[in-house]
Amino acid sequence: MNRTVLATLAGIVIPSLLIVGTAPAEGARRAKGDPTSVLTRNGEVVMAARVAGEMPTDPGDGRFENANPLTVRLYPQVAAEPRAEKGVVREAAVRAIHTEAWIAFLVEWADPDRSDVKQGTTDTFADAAALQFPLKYGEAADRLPYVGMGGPERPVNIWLWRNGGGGGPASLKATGFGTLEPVAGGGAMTAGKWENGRVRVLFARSFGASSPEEVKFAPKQIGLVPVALAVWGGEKGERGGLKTLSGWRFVKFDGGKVSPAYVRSFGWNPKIRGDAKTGETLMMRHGCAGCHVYPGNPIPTKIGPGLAGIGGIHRPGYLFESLKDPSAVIVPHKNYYSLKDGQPVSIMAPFSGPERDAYHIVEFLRTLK
Amino acid sequence: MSKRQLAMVMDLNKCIGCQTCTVACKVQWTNRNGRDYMYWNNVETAPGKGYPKNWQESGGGWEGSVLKDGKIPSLANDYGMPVQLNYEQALFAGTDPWLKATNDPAWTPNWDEDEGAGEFPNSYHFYLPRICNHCTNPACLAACPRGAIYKREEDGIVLVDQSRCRGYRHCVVACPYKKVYFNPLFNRSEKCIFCYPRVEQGIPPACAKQCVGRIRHVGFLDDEAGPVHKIVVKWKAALTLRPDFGTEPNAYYVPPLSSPKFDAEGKPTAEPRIPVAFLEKLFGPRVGEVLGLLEAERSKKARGEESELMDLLIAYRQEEMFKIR
Amino acid sequence: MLTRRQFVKGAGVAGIGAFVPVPASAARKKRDRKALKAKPPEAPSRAWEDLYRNERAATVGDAQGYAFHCSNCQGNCAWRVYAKDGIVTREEQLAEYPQINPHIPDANPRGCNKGAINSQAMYEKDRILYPMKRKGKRGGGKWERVSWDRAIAEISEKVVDILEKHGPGGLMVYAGTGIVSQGRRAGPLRLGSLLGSVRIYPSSAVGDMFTGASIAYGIPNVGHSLDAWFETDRIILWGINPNVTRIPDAHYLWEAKYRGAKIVTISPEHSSTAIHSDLWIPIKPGTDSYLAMSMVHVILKEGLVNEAFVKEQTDLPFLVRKDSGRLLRDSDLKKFPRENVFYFWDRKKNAPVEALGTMGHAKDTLRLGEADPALTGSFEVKGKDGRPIAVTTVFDRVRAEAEKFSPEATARVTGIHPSVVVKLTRDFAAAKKAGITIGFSLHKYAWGVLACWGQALACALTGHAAETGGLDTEHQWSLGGIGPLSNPKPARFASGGLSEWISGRMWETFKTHYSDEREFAERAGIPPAEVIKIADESREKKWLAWFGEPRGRILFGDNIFRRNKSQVHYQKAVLDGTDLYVNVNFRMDSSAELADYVLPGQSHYEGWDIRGDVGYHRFANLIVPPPGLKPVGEAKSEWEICRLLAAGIEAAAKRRGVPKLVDAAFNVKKEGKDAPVVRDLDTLHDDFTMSGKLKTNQDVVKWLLSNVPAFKPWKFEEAVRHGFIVLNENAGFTSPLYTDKPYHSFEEQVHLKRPYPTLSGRQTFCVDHDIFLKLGAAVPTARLPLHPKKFPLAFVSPHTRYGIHSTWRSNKYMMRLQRSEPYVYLNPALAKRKGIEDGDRVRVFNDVGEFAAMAKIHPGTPPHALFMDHAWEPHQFKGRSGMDAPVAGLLSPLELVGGWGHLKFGAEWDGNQMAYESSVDVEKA
Repeated sequence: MNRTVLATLAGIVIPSLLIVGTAPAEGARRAKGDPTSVLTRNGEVVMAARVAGEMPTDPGDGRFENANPLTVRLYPQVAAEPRAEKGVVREAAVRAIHTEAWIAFLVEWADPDRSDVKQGTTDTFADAAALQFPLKYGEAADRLPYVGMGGPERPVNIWLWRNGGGGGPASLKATGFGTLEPVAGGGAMTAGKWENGRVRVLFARSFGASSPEEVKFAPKQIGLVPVALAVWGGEKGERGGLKTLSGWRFVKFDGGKVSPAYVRSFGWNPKIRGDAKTGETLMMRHGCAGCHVYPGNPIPTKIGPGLAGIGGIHRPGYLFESLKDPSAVIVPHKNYYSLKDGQPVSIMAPFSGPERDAYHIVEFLRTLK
Repeated sequence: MSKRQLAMVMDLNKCIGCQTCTVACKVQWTNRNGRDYMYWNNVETAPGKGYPKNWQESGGGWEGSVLKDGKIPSLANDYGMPVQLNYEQALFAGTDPWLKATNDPAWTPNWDEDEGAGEFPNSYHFYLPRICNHCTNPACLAACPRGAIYKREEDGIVLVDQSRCRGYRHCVVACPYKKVYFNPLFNRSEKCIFCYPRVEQGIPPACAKQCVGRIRHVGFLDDEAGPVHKIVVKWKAALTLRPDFGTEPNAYYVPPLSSPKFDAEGKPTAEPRIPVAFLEKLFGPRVGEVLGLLEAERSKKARGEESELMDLLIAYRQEEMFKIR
Repeated sequence: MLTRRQFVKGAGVAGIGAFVPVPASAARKKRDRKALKAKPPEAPSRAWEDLYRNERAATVGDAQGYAFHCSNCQGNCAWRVYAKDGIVTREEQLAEYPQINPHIPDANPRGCNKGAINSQAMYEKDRILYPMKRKGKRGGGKWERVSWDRAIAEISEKVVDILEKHGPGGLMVYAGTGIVSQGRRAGPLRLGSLLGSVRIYPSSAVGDMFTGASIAYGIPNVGHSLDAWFETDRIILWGINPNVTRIPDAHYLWEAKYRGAKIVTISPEHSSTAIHSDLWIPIKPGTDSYLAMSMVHVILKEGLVNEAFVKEQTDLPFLVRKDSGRLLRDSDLKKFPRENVFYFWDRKKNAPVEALGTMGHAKDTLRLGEADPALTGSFEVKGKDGRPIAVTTVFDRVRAEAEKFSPEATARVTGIHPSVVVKLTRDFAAAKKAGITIGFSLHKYAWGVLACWGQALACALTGHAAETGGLDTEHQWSLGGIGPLSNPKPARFASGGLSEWISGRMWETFKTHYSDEREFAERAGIPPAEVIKIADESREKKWLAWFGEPRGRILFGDNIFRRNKSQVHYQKAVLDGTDLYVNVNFRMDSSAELADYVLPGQSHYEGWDIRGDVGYHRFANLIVPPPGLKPVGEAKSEWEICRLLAAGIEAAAKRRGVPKLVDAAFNVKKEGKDAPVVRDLDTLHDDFTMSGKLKTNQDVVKWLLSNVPAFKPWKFEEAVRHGFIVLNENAGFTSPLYTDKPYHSFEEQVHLKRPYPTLSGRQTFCVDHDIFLKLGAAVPTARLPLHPKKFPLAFVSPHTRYGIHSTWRSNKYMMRLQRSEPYVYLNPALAKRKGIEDGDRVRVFNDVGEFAAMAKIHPGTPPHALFMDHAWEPHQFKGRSGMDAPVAGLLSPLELVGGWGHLKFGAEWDGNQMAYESSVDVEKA
């Protein structure tokens, strides 16, 4: 008995699969002009404004007025234990300014309850924010790191600000969940301010890095730098994996070089469409619901990564691949793989159903944001 | 699972609550470096709120294969701030009217010492020394998202890798015994290390070696020639604390006997003053059986017969209490 | 609608198109996986573990020494001391004592929490670093740092002033209970002895004399080394809390329990020791004499008497005159009598027969030979005037007295069910080896002397003595040989209890507190005014020694204003009468802070020392400072300070032309004639150093090792290598100290039939001293506690586990293991009645004084008493009014007697200060 028959018996009507294709070469066409426009249209680009002078040291630096803020949606981290079931900060505005020598970011969010590093306490956590950059980016990198702290072979560099300081150097590296390490000798300038229910955090660094484990900026060679954001609401006990995070966003330097192939490698926008409703049903049918927690799943278990917010964080291409070949990029956490013949294999079986079911499911996942 | 497990047996019938172990540990490890508030080893009075305050009600541990949620004790309210005294002002400068704690702690590691429960003259209490249990199924280890906690292959000692810890305190939440402490100075978690730097040199942990009540036996669980194996495995005379927490501790306790309750006229009854139900909550259902075993072996010894168990617990030579190689 | 084919195609197109994910190559996937596998926890890097290894190494440091803690603790435990760069890092019990016998647990590791914290305490901020002189009024807290030279010169000048004006008796040089080792005490003792200064008896001053044992045995400190507990079948722990006060030895008790011993604790509170005992007997505070007499009652009623023992080893067969109640003496029978010769009725001869071995008898034995002393009966003997004297036995007197104290009759007083007393007594009598160990608590009640005497009687009647048990107070070794070092000339050795009573004008608080004369007389047998009269009589008749009030006090390790009762009252009385007050101390305690001059002394690890007198175990420990140890501030050893003072006083005396003082209070034989002792101020330094032989405290330790018989044959170098030595068999006082057996007192008496050092030559249960007769206490009896009813709660303050008296009491680590401030224990019902909750601040008060403390609600505290761990420093209390402020002055009238047989003032007989007989009330502050 095949799945379709089963479904029919179960009284589930599967609507026809819709793949509404714009011309597949749309991106390529636009690349003749600006390959990043699709990203801009999707609200993923922070335009770095060109300014003059010394690197800012204060989040109140007036030169940030020259930059347009990008509103970035943040989602609770649910891919790995411990999970942020309910994130505190769900939205932040990011601006960037730069000169020939340095770049500075201003991240701003609403937070009515200020929390800082309280010396001499054991049960308090500080508000914090982090910017994450792939250590390698550009065409040669051929793929973005896993947005949750990178992954093996795809290290990320993280600039961390904790309200009230402490916690070691502000520059860290990671290759997956639980791998965060300070970069020896590295560092980025951070400064934060809580004022009238809003937190404003400055991150700044010169283009060149003091350690090979830190991201470098060279807008003339590559004018588009992936960046992701994470924010912790300390007063609610957020720390480590208990945080909200964004998907990859991009800081763009005016006049910087961006190759279409590089933009393509971000894996955005397959013009394939499924039906989200069908996808949700199929989540049950294919057993996805048995392992993954997501809104509307009546049997939430935490065997695999949570899926809430996954549509806001990941691109459809990544989702599709993860469904078809879960071991391609294993969410780098010890709970999600086992070793087979000495090789790590995802504990999730590759999706073996009809391809169109996979599209429906991806479509459903895209709605989770 | 480690290849071998070093374990400790603490005999509650010999513990006199003197706190020598507590101080030995403090001077060896926790009087410095942001650890000042911590007691990797503490001795509390049972029944009582203990240290940190109400640790038994603060969650953590396992429910089946799932970690239970828990709370992080607060330094000010649950651990109590280390006492600071105005020595200079009160004793040398003549500026303070008397010598006192300037920080007026709300709790201390031994706040409810000797209190226990019951009504005079049927009050009851005993001393409960506690270290990290170096569990076989450590909740702290499972909870650490960074894998910074590990159990040593060679001796089962559970350690928080100080170079990897980021101070997230999920281990503090997860440990149902609240024996992992957050170091606020260095933003990382620390705990009893079973004195591995001493153990590696053949010297027992400070709390055990310095125990003047001679209540602590240290040895490998699988070492048939060692005291711990004999007491725990062969004689089954020692039990773990709160086995219901599911972490499979490797600190064992010989449960406490107690004197009889009095009736209303002041005549001793046959009932021990520490309720068995209370002991069962702490040490599991075998408690009554073990207390019976202790009394039976004791009677043998009183009659002049041999009892290996009594001889072990008597410990004729202190060095026989330790077999750590 | 797309077909399946189209879909596949679409996917295919996407696969090569622009906006689809780049498929990862197989090779890259492999690399990813490899990296994943290499991450923790599978193979953690363990290099970080060196962090704690390095910390441990730092605490081990670069130099090691040995130490014990020379506070007033009888534990005397060997420690290893670690230092790094000249600073002590930590300490750890040496734990290397040899096992004396494979069947007795070894003594390792001796020590306690206080010892383990001393490495921290010695550098605490209460440490006195420099000589200081007060600025402004006493106790004002303002100090001027002065040089050693200036301090010594000024003090010496004032000392000579006092000596000139008031003679040697004007100066007190006193080493208090903060210094109890042979090495460190030697300095102050020697200096005071050369000067003829006043010093009081520390044991009685703090209320630690076992006077009941003194009466019975002629020795207050009797019993056994504490390893003997292990071999005892019935152990009664009476008024003692060894889990708190005998921390290093308590294990022997619980090991004995595993061996099969039954252990009973008798105490008012459910103590730390009670929790492990087979039975806890909650006794009402201060009623112990009733329980003791009740046991005696049961022994006599049930015929549990060991007659052979009693006839030979006790005065119970001695004859007593029925008319006067006095012992029948030789002087009753003979015109030219011998003193101190007594009689029993020989049942064989049916006639009175002289008891051998009494104080006045020529024959030095207890052997009865053919005689069979009657224990009971009424007889007539012919008096020296030919008239018959009706006599009976001490035994019959005892029986008549005990008749009053049946378990049923005493139950109301003691709160103990009669069946408990009966069983306790039967078990005790039946046991092969049974012992009663008492602590320092009992004699802090007015009738502790009777309780203890009654306990001794219970032991005697059942024949428990030497290796079959008996009474155990606080056994001490007899070291011998120290005299030439500590007492080169006679000093003014005065009573502790009586001297403090006089110094502190204690009769004033006594009168205030015991103002209900009828109530007092009902309990004590005499009105309060009579007690004051007996104290005066004792002073005038020199029953207890007193040499007048000193005008200058040089105190070493004596927290005089902490330990004395009626604290606030006492402090004023003493300071008002003192012209010069010098305090030598390592820390600013509640007494140092009131001094005119404070001199920085050494703490436990800093100076050479040896201690071997404590009879709990057989080891004499050494202090061998770690090589290269840096001095703490300008601290000096007591020996060095006394040597400097000797030099300073000598110089000042010479300058002022007083090279010698004739001290008429003492005579020495000179060329066969009595001549007054001369105090040679002009050779004081040379005399002090034994002509240069004893320059340093290390020299003193060497001297002790080669001159104390019990220390032989240990050589200095050998002792220093081990950190301790084992005492030889000479350390025993009334028994030899065998190498492989625990020590028990009185083997020589029991087995070799040598007399006891008592008037009767036997265990003594009849004292016919006037005062004893007046109080109806010629044989052991019981008396009600004196707590006046006008305040509802008996105030009792047993020892703490967090200090040795005030030493370490205010240490921050010890404070944190308690409540961080002084606290009182309240029974929950009492607290509820008073509206007091746990943690509340309360006021404890009576008509003598008051103090403030935190309330700790404690179900183990009896409802009609207020308990408090003792020896908090007064300066830890609001207004510096300490916990002894409301404790009234009190001496036990029975302990004031003297001039009777072995009840003569000296090391074996003196009167205590009472601490537990005051009543208080409590209210929420």
